[in-house]
Amino acid sequence: MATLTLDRLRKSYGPIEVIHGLDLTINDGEFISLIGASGCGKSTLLRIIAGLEDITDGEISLNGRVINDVAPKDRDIAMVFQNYALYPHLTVRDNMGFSLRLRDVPKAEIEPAIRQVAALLGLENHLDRYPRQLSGGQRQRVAMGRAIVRKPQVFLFDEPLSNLDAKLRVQMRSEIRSLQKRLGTTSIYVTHDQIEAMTMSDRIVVLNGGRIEQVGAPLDLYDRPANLFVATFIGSPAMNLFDAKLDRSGSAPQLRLGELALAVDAPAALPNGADIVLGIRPEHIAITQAGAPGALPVRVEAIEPTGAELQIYGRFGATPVTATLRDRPMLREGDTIGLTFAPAAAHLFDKSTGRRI
Amino acid sequence: MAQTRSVVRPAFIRGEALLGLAFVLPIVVIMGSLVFLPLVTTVLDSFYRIDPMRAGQPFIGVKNYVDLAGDQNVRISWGNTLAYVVMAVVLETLGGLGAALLLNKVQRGRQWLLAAMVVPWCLPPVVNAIVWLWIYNPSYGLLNNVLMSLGLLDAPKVWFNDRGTGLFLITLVHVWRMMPLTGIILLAALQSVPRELYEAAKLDGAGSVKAFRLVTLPLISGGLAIAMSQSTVFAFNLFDEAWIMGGSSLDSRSIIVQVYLSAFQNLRFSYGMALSLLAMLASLIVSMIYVLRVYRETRMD
Repeated sequence: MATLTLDRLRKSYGPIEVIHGLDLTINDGEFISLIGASGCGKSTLLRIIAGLEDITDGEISLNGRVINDVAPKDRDIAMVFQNYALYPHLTVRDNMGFSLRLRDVPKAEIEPAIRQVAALLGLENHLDRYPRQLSGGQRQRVAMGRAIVRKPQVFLFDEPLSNLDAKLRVQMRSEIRSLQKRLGTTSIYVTHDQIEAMTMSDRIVVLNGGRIEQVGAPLDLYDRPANLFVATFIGSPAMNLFDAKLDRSGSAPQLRLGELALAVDAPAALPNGADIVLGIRPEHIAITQAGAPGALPVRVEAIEPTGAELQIYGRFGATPVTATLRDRPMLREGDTIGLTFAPAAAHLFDKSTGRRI
Repeated sequence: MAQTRSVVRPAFIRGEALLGLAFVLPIVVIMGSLVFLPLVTTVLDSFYRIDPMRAGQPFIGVKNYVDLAGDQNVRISWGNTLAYVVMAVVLETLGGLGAALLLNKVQRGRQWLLAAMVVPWCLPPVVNAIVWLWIYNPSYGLLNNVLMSLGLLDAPKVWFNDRGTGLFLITLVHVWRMMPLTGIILLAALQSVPRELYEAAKLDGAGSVKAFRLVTLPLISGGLAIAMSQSTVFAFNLFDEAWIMGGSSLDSRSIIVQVYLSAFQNLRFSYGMALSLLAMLASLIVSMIYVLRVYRETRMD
């Protein structure tokens, strides 16, 4: 049972600050994902929580107790490493029992604990094997088993599925999630794969350049991205962005995008002529004939069928546009089509701050 | 199709095999003529009496070996060599491991430290021994001077007057020269241990001592076996240091010095050959013990 709190956390390597005053509370039993591009500080953050990296400033506390200066071995936190970090000279049984042995747990208790976890992970028949004799998926399970058998306060996962093939990744994804639900252990999961983050997490933390861009439930991030970074980071293909202007000359404020005028609920602070970014997800776009009223003219540059869907890449003026269609209209590269969307599906951002309006 | 292939392939294999033979030929010739042939003739000659001062080279069977077993000087030399080997292997392994662990921690300038550490190993053994002979010199040597200026010694000491001290000091010179090699072998082994394993051990609850014993040591045992084998072989073959510092003195005479004395001072060639074979066998057997032991314990990738 563990609540983890990060308070004004800072981390510098020499003069370079990589984490800039980060606040986050992770609730008991929660599965939280840290997601962001390479170098955003997500792995550093995980290593800080593990105690493998010192912090420069701020506080990190577990159940209200500050653990800034507690050694990793005394934090009661287990970690699953990206490359598993199994001890090559020990069998699966000894790998899983390593931490218990170090804690002087009596032998009579270690064996049943290992057996129980091995049964949970389907490793009963592999206990006497060495890591090198196992497949990637099995090694992954042993790494998890080594973490689970300790019954730690917190699980940390550092991109644990990135070395597995696509099919196994999907399978392990749901296995890890259901295991975590059953055990109820607070878990922090680092990934760069947004599908993993979306499907597994209770909440997602989007990191960018050592700062939190947004924290929220997966669908909240998708439905209401707080800023342009999250808007383009979550969702694949990425959200389309159009530069538009606010027009207050009429009776109600309108958004002007080429020939298009959209009624908007702009805050009073935004002046006439303010730059607005209009975001629309590819899957919320419909196509119609070129020149249809209210449609944006788009020249088709490429068409990619993925089976279930059709991806259409084109340009509105100079702005690249992606549309995901579930039907199969007769289109050819070079055609000009009309592009429409429901006004409710549009996301509006203040161009100067990047924030959602 | 199948037929043409069955015709073509043996020719192709024969060509490839010939090429392979051509590649291994130089090393076969060199090893054969410089190592195996002399070894075989040495073994054969050790059953004859080969002595330039006496006429004829009669077959004498194992007489050389029987004489060796009863030779008091040989027995003392074996004792000295045993002392050299035990002290040298222990000191080189502990010292080399310590140096490797320290170097492994150093982030910046490691290559310079490594280069500095290697210097004694690059020195010709005779030069090394002469330098140390000066250090040990009773009248003007550095060791006496330092100890006396520190107040640890009242009067200059003649170090080689005591057999135990002499053996130890000679071993020290040999260790000084050979430890860098052990250090480099172990450093390479340490660097092959992935950092994540230490991090995993930390999170599993291991302090630095336990992490070393349970993770580092088993994972560098291959390197440790290589390092200890070479230490053993070189200590068994210790000659330069003992000869320069102790000459023919029985107190510090190593088995190889004894071989030299028997063969080239007393001119009992085949007697010396028999002894050199025994020395080779002894170092082979001892280093086999480490290698086999480690091989059995570390069957991993």
